[in-house]
Amino acid sequence: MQFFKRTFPIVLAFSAGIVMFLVQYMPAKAPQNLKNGYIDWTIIIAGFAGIFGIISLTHYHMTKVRRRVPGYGFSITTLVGFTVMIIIGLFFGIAQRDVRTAGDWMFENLMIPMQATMFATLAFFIASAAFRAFRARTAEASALLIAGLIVILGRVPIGHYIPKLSELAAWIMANPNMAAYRGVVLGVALAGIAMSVRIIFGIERTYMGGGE
Amino acid sequence: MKRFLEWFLVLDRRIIYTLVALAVIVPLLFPLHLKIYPTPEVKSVYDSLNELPEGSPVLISVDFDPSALPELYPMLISALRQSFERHLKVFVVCLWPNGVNLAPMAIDEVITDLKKLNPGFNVVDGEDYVYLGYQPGTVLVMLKMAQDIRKAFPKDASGNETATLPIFQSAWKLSQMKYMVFIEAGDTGDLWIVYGTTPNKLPVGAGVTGVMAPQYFPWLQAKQVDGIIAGLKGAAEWEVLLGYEGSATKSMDPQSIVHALIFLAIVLANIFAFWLAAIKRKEERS
Repeated sequence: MQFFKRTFPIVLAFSAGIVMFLVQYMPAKAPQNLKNGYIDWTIIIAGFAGIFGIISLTHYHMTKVRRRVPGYGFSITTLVGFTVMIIIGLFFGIAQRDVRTAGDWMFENLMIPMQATMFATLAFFIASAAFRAFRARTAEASALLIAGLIVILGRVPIGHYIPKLSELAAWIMANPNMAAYRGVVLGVALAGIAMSVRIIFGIERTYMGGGE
Repeated sequence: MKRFLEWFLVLDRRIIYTLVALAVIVPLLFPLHLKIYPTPEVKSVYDSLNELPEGSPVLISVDFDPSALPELYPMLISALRQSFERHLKVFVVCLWPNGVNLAPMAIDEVITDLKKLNPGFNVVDGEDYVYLGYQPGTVLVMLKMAQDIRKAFPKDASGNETATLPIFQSAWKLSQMKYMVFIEAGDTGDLWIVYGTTPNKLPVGAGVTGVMAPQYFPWLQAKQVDGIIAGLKGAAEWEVLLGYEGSATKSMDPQSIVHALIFLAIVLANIFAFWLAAIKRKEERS
């Protein structure tokens, strides 16, 4: 059992990682076919990951309902909405180009208004949070505040009515912002490589879950 | 004065919400018609699509869901509109499961609008454009598309075998596309750049939400993206370049006023906070 729980996943991760790494440098047909096979398998596995997500979500909310955890009414709403959409999706189709289905109707009349409303409320929360939290308490916070204020006004049409403000906002985006984000992108990429190496060589095992 | 400053600095959030609501509603009822100037980042995408010869294959990736619809849907409309007006061959894909219905909505809307403007306008599904629908796997779908789009999407959203569609005579893999526009509400855009467009030397315009735009400037400077359409303002700039007033252009007045309101609120809050601190220091000394 220990073999299937620990050794087998490590061997699998090692072999898949090494093979996928090596085939990048082998343009011959056989290694490229192997790579394509891996991609096909992974697309299928990604589909199954969705099924696990569904099981996990259902289990989580069923448990909350069964234990009558405060706010379990929201879990009931989630489960009902989830079940209805699955039934409609499976039996009445979605994304058919030529035929208007019940799935299309639910998407346009339920999902779009609800998701758009959720996102729209952000404008109110951001305005309130910015008013309360955006204070020049330190030199760094002051620099951020000044840059933020320039960008807030300089990136909308009204900013064009204030001389040089839009140009200044564009300069902030294309220079200090770009430099900072480049650092972030490089850092993330290097961390990704380090993490991949750790997984391939079995040093990083948290992806197997379970713990000790 | 001290009491007023203290009251202002802990202003009831309902007052702020009301002011924001008014800042949105009033300019919608009484438009200011603020002038919109296209930025070089948006103009670059517009010019690139405009310079393509008729019949060039272009790819549009719809990677957002209805939560980002107010910001990104106008971009999708502009991308389709310009492509159809230029008689390009349009391939549309979706890598976000919840966005799968948005592309056909936009395609139908653009075709209807263009037919109203020009009754002779006609595009044929499978010949002039194709909607390939959703496929799970994100990066893997991109890798597969680099080899053969028909294998990544064996059927289009209408259920037709892609191998039989005439549009695939213009291009059947990523490197054969002449241009791409991705419209993103998440990290899929970064993945497109790393795994899809850069390895296949495919020029790409990035349509992204306003909050995501800053992270695309390194790609722009490295010329890994051709241009950035940043949020609703970027979408409005694209509409201006295309010469029509869509929902993004109409939304620019409320957005400007809300930004001005937030600007004013932050500035006043900081001035009043300093003022209050000064009053308190003075009281302590005396």
